[in-house]
Amino acid sequence: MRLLSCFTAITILLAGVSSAIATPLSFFLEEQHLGSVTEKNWPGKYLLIGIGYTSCPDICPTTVMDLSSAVAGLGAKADKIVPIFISVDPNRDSVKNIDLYVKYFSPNMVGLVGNITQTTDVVKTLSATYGYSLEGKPVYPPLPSQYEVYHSAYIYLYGPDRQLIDVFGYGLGGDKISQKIATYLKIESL
Amino acid sequence: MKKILFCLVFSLFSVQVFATNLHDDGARYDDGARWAFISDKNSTSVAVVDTFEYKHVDNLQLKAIPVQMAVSDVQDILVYIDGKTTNIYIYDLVKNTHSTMVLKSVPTDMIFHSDGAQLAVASQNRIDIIQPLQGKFGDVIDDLNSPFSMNFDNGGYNLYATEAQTGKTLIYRTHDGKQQFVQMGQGKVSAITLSPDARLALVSQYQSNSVYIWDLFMEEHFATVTMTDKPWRPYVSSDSEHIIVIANDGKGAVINAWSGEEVRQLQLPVKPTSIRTGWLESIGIIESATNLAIFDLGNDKPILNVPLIKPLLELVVVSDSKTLFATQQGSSDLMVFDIRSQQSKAPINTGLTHPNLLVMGITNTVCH
Repeated sequence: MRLLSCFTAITILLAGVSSAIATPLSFFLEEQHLGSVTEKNWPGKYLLIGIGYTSCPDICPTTVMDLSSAVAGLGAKADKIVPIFISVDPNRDSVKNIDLYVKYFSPNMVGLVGNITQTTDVVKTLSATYGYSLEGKPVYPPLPSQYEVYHSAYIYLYGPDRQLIDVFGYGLGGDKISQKIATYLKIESL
Repeated sequence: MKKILFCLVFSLFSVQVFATNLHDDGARYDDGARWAFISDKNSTSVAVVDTFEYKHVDNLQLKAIPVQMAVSDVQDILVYIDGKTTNIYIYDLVKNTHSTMVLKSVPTDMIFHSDGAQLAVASQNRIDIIQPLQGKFGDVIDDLNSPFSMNFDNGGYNLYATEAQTGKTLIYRTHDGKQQFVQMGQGKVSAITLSPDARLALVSQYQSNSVYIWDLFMEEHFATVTMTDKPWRPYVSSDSEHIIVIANDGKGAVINAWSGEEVRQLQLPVKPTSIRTGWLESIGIIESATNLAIFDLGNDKPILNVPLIKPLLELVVVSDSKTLFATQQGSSDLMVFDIRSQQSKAPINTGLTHPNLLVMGITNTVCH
């Protein structure tokens, strides 16, 4: 087997990691109003997390809407959940832009962005994947002026202990996600 | 999903719209993550299964018994071919109407572009790029020999078509029709597999019992994995992290797609028949006639063998990566397997005598 040499560091940065199902959530990112944040912010809260980027034409707005409506659907229990959207395109998404973007969908939505290493780290902890392509082929930082972004389209629910509770597939919809979260909250309150 | 209606464009080929309204109750099956469509081997019935609620909800009547089906989640259509006629049948899942497009020869294979509008249709020594919702014919590719396999890459920028007898692979750029060729392996090869990140292309080479891997980014040979028996078509997990190779003697491996290093070995007691991954791409699933072999992709933990009541026909892992659905030989029931808990769930009766093909609009979990 041939080992890649000059691209190894970059590719490891961008590679998703699949064996981290049991890995507790961990990140170090930036938020417009809070500054640097980690998974330890929002103590006692559940975190409902999606990843994407602000110039995404289709999937990401749907994901953010699902995050928003899933939490809104919980009614009085909505304050137990913090909806978070994390950018996987830090080259184009500033902390200000991601905040503006998510606030269009919900004033309670949290938008996070980091540098490429921090982005890779959080994607790894989510067992997700992301990367960039141009003309059907992958491209790596430093990125060209034009490129496309691909990324996992899951929505993740983490508990107050930052352990993964459940994962929801793209297309499930906010109502269904809300119902499932309500079940978990009910179990917790028993 | 929002549908974009295009103007109907008539081409040199005929388009027949039957406008048969099969469902007056206004049933819409336009949620690609929710609805599974299951054909019957001996009839034109297609069972609709709600994968959110785990129940059979409806039956559609097709114009022919399908030998292959595909769903566009974007345009909300079910397309199918019957293996006998030159027709492409199109079923509108919102309007519940049928139409057909007539090709020059009998289609043998088809695959949707990621835009959900373009469909590549294979027939003898030829690929037609069509737009089924519009009934529009596009480019024709005829510089290749049947049989061949087809695959669109990341975002649908290129269509790859690999000749099964030679490994000669056409790379067709979809937006301008530019063609180039790459040689994938030697001699007879399997259908081509592309890693979801479009970095690697893989085929099994049957003369040498090996898996040939080409690096599309570096445009050079990446690796050749030698097997101990005829290799199954290789598989890459949807996060592009792991390559799974397995041979007919049950021996195989999980390989890191970046370093090329072996992550774990596989030894199954029986001949494999398909490969899947799921539950956030941490688990590999290899089907055989008698078992589902369930194993961790990232470590050497023992393989869990789940006995099957019946051999499986078609498998789908749904978009949350947690559930596997499969049609079974000689059973009306759809098998449901919870990948997360690694346990079978109650089967879903389809009402069909011989369930066969199984398709959904969304099964992938990566947004391009």
